[in-house]
Amino acid sequence: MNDLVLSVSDFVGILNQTLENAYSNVVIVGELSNFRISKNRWVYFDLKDEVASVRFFGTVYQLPGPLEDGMMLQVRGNPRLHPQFGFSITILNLQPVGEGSLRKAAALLEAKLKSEGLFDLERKRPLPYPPAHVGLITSGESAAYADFVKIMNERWGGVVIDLADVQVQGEVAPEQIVRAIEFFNAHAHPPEVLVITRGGGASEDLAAFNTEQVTRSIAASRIPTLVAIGHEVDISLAELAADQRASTPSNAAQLLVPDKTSELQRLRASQNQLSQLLLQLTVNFKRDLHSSRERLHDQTLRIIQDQKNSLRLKSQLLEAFNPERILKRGYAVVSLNSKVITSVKGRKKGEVLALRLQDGSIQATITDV
Amino acid sequence: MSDQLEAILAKLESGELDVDQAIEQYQKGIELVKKLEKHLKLAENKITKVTKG
Repeated sequence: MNDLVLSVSDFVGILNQTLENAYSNVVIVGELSNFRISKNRWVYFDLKDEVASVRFFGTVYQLPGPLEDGMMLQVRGNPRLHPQFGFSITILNLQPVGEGSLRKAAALLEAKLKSEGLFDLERKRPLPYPPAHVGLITSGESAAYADFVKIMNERWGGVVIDLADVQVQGEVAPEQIVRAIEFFNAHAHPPEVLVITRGGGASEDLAAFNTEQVTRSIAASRIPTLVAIGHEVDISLAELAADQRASTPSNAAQLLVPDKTSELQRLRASQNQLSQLLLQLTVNFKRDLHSSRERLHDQTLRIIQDQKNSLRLKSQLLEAFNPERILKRGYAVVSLNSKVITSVKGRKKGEVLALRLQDGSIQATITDV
Repeated sequence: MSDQLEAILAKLESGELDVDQAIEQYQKGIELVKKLEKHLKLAENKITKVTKG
């Protein structure tokens, strides 16, 4: 019997070597238990099933959101035997799995983010309507992409669409989506709106849109966001954080741009309105002009009439002083040697007077004074 | 451009313009309508795939 005798350290080294060669990357599914976070950095938990339990170790940055014992998790990691602390699996990647766990994870995360105000209505910004420049984040080969583009082309034109082709499900999806959002936000000439969209699928497929990193990235985007996740039941956290949500990629296009046909109709209506207004204004101008002319006419007539009346009055007054009227009543104008006399003073018998009556003159000699 | 059209319509509705001004605004309005119609009918969307940083 010739057993290999090893020191403890050597054994640890060899075992780890073996593990690395054989199981450099294991993916394990199990129920979460003994979950704890230390110093806000280190994460420790066990995954267990009916008969066994294995320890895991990682960092908080690897968490997709808050977790609770009892949830089902799928973890990718490296098994190793720590020189002092025993066997554990170092986490590379982890996510909740199964309908129940996913929903639980989303509920926990939703509560946490909601309390931070990420979903508040006041935060939501209006989208430019229509936008001239759109950043599209979706899978380039997907039906979602095809649907969105088709409806956009039917409805509107002149829009510049920049496509960031990303995975919308699977392990790498959250990171790619976040990177795309940051890419557009950092651009020198950023789009006016980001459209993040994917079609329907199972809960696992939509998991990326319920992760903390994607949700926070959407909430933090300086560019307004429109998120459209095709789904049957629950709204994803990404949609809650977005400025606008649509039920499907096609619906997103409908919300984003107007319909060419109805816009052309509106233009035609505007054209009619222009003509109507001008017509109305013309009618008003004509009416005002006519009214002014009439007033001018009336005013002038009235002035002339007033003058006439005034003149007649004065004429009548003047007529009262006409000497001819006095003569008509039997008075005579008496004159002596062509001079009118108004008194008997100085008159002598025998003087010849001229008496002017209304219809002629009489020569008369004074017989008595 | 459609904002300008809205503005012209508002001015005409206000009744503050005289005949000459009204005609001028009307003509500008008709011109805008023609331009917008042309744009709507002809413009196309341009899709570019961007490389991620």
